[in-house]
Amino acid sequence: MRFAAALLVFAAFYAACLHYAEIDLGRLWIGLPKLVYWTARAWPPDFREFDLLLFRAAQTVAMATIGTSLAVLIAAPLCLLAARNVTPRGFIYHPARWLLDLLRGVDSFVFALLFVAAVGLGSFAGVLGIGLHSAGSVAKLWSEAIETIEPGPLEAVAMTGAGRLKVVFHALLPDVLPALLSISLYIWEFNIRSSTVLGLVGAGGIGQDLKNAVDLLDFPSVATIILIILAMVTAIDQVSAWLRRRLI
Amino acid sequence: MLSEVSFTVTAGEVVALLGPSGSGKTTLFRCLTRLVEADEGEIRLLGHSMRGMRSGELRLARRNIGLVFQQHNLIRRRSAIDNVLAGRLGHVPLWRVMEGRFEQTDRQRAFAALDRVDLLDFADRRADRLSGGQQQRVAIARVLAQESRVILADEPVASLDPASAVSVLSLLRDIAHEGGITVLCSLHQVDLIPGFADRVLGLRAGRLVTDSAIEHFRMLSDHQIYARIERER
Repeated sequence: MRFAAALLVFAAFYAACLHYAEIDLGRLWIGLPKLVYWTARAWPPDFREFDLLLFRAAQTVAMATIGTSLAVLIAAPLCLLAARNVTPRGFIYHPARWLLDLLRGVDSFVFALLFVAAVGLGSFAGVLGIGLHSAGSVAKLWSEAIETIEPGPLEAVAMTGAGRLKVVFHALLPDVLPALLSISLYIWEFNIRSSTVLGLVGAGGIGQDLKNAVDLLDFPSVATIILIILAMVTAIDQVSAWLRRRLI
Repeated sequence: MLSEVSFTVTAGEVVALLGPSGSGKTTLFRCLTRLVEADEGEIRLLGHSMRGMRSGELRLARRNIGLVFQQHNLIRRRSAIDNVLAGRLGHVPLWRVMEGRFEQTDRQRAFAALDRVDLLDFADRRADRLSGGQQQRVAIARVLAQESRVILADEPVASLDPASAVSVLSLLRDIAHEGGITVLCSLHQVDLIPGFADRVLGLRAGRLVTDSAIEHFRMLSDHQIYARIERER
């Protein structure tokens, strides 16, 4: 009986979601031929602006890399404050967690939009946007990794008269470093993909060119850009996997 | 819960703290090092009151207390020698710890300590690749490197086989006699006490029920020793 009731609630919730999401299969049916037509028009891809697009792709990767580095710098002290077993005082733990939830909750895209207004169009806004949002993600994942470390060895080292920071550097970091690196690489890969759209708000990278091409209905260029993005993401995945094997 | 536990230990004494589990042995140790705050009473180490100390002073005072735990509590991923070096952290500036570059004298102390426990050949072995007895000896080497005046050992041999247990306790006893270091060691295995301790403290249900020199226990069997603790007071 309880199972049937739960099922009913679930079905009602789903029906509401479908309604609010304005799912209309009829519109998909009507729109499908258009997509097919555009895909046909997209071949062969237009390679005339290839070197410019390659530059933009490099800019996208650069943006993601510097942004992730900024995130790591911000997350380093933050994750220590937000880890229950390491935080210096109880009353610092909660504000630290709120801060990282705030940073995580606001997407890079939204931060980038704000920074475009503040520092102007271009990649710098993108870097700042990624830096802030990812700081929250990195800090959260890092603090969770730190909280899984056994307390015994940390306590034992602290009892030799070592202060908190000495315990962190001598006993905690060596244990948790592989996890920290793995998480950083994961966030870097994630940011490469999310940077491709930052151009849509003028924050630099290849997203801007993609938007322009779509607005102009220049499908051959759209095809080129998508191919470049796919190649970029695949290459980064390979690099990341190689780095994981070497470092972790 | 501990109540009315009062005793004085002289420098260089080896004291066994005997009691069934739950009698408060670990609580007593945690009070002595102020990991847990006692509600009442005084703790004096080398003439200084521990209870009044603030965190900076407490950290300096803790350098003089070496702890050995039942669970070894070594840093698993690090080598034996790095674990022993942890004993020097109280004496070393932060920047050296951050860079992992210790002074020559500290490294020498650490290697000497590892040698004293016969594990010099295992210096670079990762802690989690050592046997239980070896890990406990690395923990003792860490305490040696600390050059503390006092060693508090909380059930250090509870997880070891009888042969390793005897070997670790002999090591503790030799270290105490060589360096004039005071050892307070909690145990529940009565048969290990003769030949190890100079004095026996008996704890039962949080109260100190026995405090006597080892001679008074020599004539009793293991069963009788425990029974006496059960009976006293």
